[in-house]
Amino acid sequence: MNISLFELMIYGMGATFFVLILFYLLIKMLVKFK
Amino acid sequence: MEQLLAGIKNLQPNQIAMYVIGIVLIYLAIKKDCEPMLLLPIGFGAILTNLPVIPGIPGIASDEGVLGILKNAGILTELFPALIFIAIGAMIDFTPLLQMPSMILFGAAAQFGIFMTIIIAYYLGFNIKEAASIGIIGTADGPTSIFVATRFAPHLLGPISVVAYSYMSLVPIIQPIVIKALTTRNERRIRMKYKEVIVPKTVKIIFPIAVTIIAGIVAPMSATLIGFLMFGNLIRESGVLDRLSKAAQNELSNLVTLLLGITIGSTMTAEAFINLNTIKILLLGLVAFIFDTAGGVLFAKFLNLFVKEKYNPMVGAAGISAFPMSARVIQKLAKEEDPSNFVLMQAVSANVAGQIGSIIAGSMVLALLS
Repeated sequence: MNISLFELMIYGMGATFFVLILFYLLIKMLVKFK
Repeated sequence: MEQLLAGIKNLQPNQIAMYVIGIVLIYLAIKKDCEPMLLLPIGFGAILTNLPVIPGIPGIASDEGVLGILKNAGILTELFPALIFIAIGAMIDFTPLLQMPSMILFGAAAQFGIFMTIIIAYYLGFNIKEAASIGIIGTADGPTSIFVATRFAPHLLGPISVVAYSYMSLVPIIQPIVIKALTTRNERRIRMKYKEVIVPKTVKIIFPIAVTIIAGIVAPMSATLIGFLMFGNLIRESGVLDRLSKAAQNELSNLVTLLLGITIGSTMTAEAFINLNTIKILLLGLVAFIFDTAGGVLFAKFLNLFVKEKYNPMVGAAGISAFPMSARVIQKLAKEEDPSNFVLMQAVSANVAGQIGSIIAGSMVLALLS
């Protein structure tokens, strides 16, 4: 996969935030429906 | 007679230099208490692997030697780092994170150092995959560093592992300097509310299962590490596998750490370790930890522009994966500024999030460059 360093940083940080926000929503949901 | 003197005849000066490096690592482990569980076996492994080889007899680190067999079976197959994650999962209590879920964002922000280090490493002459392996030191997570380096730059595994574990033991020195440079005294004195929320057992059991499924679907490269981490955590939280949980936390952790350390040491041959790249990796490791800390602190300051209940920016720095050392450092700093300020629970929460964040960030780098 050809990717520039800038893209690597933006996609890498963006995807990490995206996945952790999903986990945030998961925790919120779990605690709400406990 | 020729055979008896073969060891002395085949001894090279750079091998002697590696004995000194091995002894320095053992000294740091014993006298300075720098990650002794890893640095001592790594140091001894470095000495073993650089013993002179007698022609016709396989060396200890060759493919037929014991250390070579361990390397091929445990490191190159990624088995040891994966097993370590079962042990880590069994040791981690995610309750503080489940009580304060917003802290999970710091687990992402504090991975900034990885990407900055990749860029700098690339411009220092490493190819993109080598640079990525070096950048992963910024996860502040040894097994993830080993996991990624094994795939992308196995020839740099020795220096990357040593640098990763060395800087982890230097977190109490590096983080306060960066935090103080980026925050005012008033910011460091910010108090954060802590409301104790009782997290039901069901939530603690569903969490590792759900995280594994979500991570496996949206970030398949993380399946091994997140899966094993959460498996260990599920054993802990299930409440019916106490014996296995204790075995994972003690016997499994100890045995794999022991084998992992000495096997990593065996990758530190003189040719692979004594060169300019090792010095560059040493400097880049420091860069990674500095930018990780800065990423977490600056993200907290950014959030403070929008939220009513302000975050203490120091808590952002605990988003790195060095658990629980970073959380302790933050609480100590908070206490220095205001003896009655207590941010340990928030810092632990961010620190636990960093454990997940580091694996996800590492997996993203793997996915983007594979």
